[in-house]
Amino acid sequence: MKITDAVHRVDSAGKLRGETKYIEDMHFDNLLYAKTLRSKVAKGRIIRIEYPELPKMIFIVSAEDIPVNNEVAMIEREMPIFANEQICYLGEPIALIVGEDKDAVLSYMSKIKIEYAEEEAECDLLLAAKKPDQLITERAYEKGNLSEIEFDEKFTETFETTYQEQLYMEKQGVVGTVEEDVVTVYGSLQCPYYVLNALKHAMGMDEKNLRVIQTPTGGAFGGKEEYPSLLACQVAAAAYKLKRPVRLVFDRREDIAFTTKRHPSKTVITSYIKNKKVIGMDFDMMLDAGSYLGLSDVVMQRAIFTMTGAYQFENLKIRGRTIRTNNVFTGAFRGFGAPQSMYGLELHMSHLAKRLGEDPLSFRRKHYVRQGDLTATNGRFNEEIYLDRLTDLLENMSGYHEKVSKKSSLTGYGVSVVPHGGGFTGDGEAVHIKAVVKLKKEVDGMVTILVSNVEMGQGAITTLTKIVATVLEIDMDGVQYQNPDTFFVPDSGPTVASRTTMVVGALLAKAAAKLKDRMNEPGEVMITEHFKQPDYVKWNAETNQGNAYMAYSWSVLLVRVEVDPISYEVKCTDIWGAYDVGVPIDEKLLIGQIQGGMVQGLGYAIMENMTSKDGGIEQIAFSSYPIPTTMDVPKMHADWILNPYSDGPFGAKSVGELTLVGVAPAVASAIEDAMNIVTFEIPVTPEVIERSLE
Amino acid sequence: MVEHYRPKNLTEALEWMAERKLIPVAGGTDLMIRARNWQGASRAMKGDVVYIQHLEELKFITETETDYHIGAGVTQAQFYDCKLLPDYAREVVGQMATPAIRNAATIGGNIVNAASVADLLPLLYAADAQIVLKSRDGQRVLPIQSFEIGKYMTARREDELMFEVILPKLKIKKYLYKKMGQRRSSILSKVSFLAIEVEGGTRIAIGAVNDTVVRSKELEKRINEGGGVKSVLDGYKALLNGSDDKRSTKRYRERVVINLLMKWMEEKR
Repeated sequence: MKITDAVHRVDSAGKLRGETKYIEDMHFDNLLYAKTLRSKVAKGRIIRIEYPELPKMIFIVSAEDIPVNNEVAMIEREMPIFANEQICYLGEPIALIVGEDKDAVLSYMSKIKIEYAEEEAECDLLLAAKKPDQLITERAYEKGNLSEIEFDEKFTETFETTYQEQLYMEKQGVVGTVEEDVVTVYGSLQCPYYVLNALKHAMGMDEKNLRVIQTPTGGAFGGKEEYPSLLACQVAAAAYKLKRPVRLVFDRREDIAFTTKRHPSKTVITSYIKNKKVIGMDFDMMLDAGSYLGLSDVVMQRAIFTMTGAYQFENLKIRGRTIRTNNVFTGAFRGFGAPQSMYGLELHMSHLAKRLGEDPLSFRRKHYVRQGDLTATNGRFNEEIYLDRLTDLLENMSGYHEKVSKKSSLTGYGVSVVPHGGGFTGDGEAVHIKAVVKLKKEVDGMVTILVSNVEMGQGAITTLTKIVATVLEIDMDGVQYQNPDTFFVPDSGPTVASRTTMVVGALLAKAAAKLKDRMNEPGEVMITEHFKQPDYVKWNAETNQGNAYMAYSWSVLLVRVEVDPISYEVKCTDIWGAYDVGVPIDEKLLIGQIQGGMVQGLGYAIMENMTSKDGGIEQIAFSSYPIPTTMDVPKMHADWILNPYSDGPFGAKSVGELTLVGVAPAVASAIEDAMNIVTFEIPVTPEVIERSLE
Repeated sequence: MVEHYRPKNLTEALEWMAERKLIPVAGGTDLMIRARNWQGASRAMKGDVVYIQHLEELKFITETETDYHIGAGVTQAQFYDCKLLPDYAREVVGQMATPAIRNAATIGGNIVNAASVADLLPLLYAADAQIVLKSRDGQRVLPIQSFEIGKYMTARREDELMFEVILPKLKIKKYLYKKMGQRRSSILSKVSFLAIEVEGGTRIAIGAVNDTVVRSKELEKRINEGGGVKSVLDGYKALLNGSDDKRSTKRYRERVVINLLMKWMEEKR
């Protein structure tokens, strides 16, 4: 069997049969239920909280119950676990109200009175950006010398994007328990060790007394990267205080309204054109970080370090900013900044091609990067890059030239070409993550994978199991994986940044190669493998210079839409995608990622309109925040080339995020083509199309 | 505590409703959602409820020479599947919600709930349908326009249950139905538009823009008499008082209505 051949997913039978227990299904003896008491203002101070007398079996857990630090340790520690005096966003948690009976908890909550000294909230990104105090972080870098180049013309455009909600099927949920001297948090989460680190800081205990166990996770998309750390600290403190298990599971509306989502953005791009080629670009982007920085600066880095996309531009001036507002704080979401920057860049490239009277793919080909070229951040593209081959593949599989030349009115085509870097930005894998994996041969010959990376629907268990089994040349049944438990698994890093297969899978492949020679030894055999940074990765975090990513995956997309001239409704009929993800570990899982990315990208492109009003998200229900249904899903055509990556397992690079990133600009461009309009924002709703007709 | 009543038959339901204030629940696809609460806590019903979905007396579709009679307890799926009913009406119902919801949601529920986005209402306005209400003491018949008095407001008295809707048989020469939502299915309407051509001319009903359905016999007369397109469009524009909300904009809703009116009038000529 080839590594690319499809296998059954390891986790699917249990999920399809309803046997898998999610956090809300799990039984805990003496369980208490927690509901979050939230602020009713977006900004202000709490003057007084009037808690009515506590009935039997109702408990309050608030800032004073955090054993050591009332701070959520992420990158910064500015966000409190429970609000102290200051309120920074609408719905900020003030306390947990805990009890055995949910009706009693709600009844008690309805009688709590909170008096605020309300302050004027800053809820508008563009207004906030004008105030120096609202700037949280700023990064800038240059390449070549933009101010001295000679050019024929200059072309400036401004692009805006709104929120996008992850809308994982399983809502946020955690349980805290205390047994003897160990506080354990069970939860639906992506990053057990992020949670453990946050718990250490809040509880003042070490990993011997703190334990994090990931429960089957029904989707995440980044929404369970940093956010569960907040909830974990809350239930840990509650369980520690009450000496009973405490469960906190959000309701859907609560989850949509108050958890992290994709950053709204504004990007101003100026291209400098000479001889019908882009020779320089000025790229200025701002992100709405919301009330706390969280991961926003890291999101912004991914957005701007690869803002030149698939192209070689000699002269660059780049700036990125994160802006503080009193909106809900924004965070990780599949693509992590790239969906915003690549939307701007790719739609701008299509606009440029049209302006210069060129075919959008031919125009892009003139700028394609090649192996050995300098990246935007003056690193070197290390691996083979086959963008022309990939573009040929797309043109052939879709019949591109014939389709475009014979297109009928109200039908449109749009393209995009995007890269996505695998793993952490810069030297993050070596400096911050320092992944460790273990592979253990049990006494009975079974091989156990010990990593902190989680299954969240993407197929990680299957991929990792398959890699190990294939290296060992044994059946997949001979390899087992259990949900990460920090008492037993090493820190192989978070399940984010399209890194699980490429980075963790590679470490497991190395470990498996070492174990293979020792499979016949009696008793247990434990192999430990540490991440080592490849020699070609050089990064200076001070100057933002060097290799922003170890390796890039690539996609070339073509989208076909039909637009109704009466209602301006868009029907996306087809998406063709050609991909270079190195070597896919499993073709079926690759197709799963491609189709999921296309659909989530389509939602971002045309329908997922999410807005904030006075600090509150306006669309907090399935009835107002639409994601595509099967009726909206186009025909999806996918093909790929094999381009083995030397440091990936069996040549694999990253997949997960890439498949979403390029969709929105291609869809927007197709709509423009159909209606002969120009757009500067997503989602391109019928309302936007109607407005653009003027 | 909320009390729950499950009557044996329609008579018992009407008896109870005459004696105490009860909220009738049929399919529950809207009421149960609006009574949402922390999962695992009691539903936040606004008062005591009476369940009526099982009442056989409300589940019928019959016809006379002039009308169809559709019981309030008929589900949307049953309406859609009933070949006796005319295509233009079934098409409207076929685009409501999702198959699962259509199996539970009732015709009466959509009418009595009186949401401004209720998709049945433009159909009933265009057809000049009548609503039959029953109480312990008798029965009332109201034209749909008199029954729907506002957003989530009807002329139903607290002791009355909707019994049936009477849909007049029309000779439909042509019709145009368009439901605009944020996606292609399982979505509330941003605008819904129904135009039908019957003996006597055009009828037009516009839903989901104003609190209640827009229908103007005067403007229809102007269309039938071949009046100026501009005066017709301006007339409808003056009747629309939608607003910007989380689903759409006033501007978009008006523009689409105008586009549909123009298409309809062009094809009529």
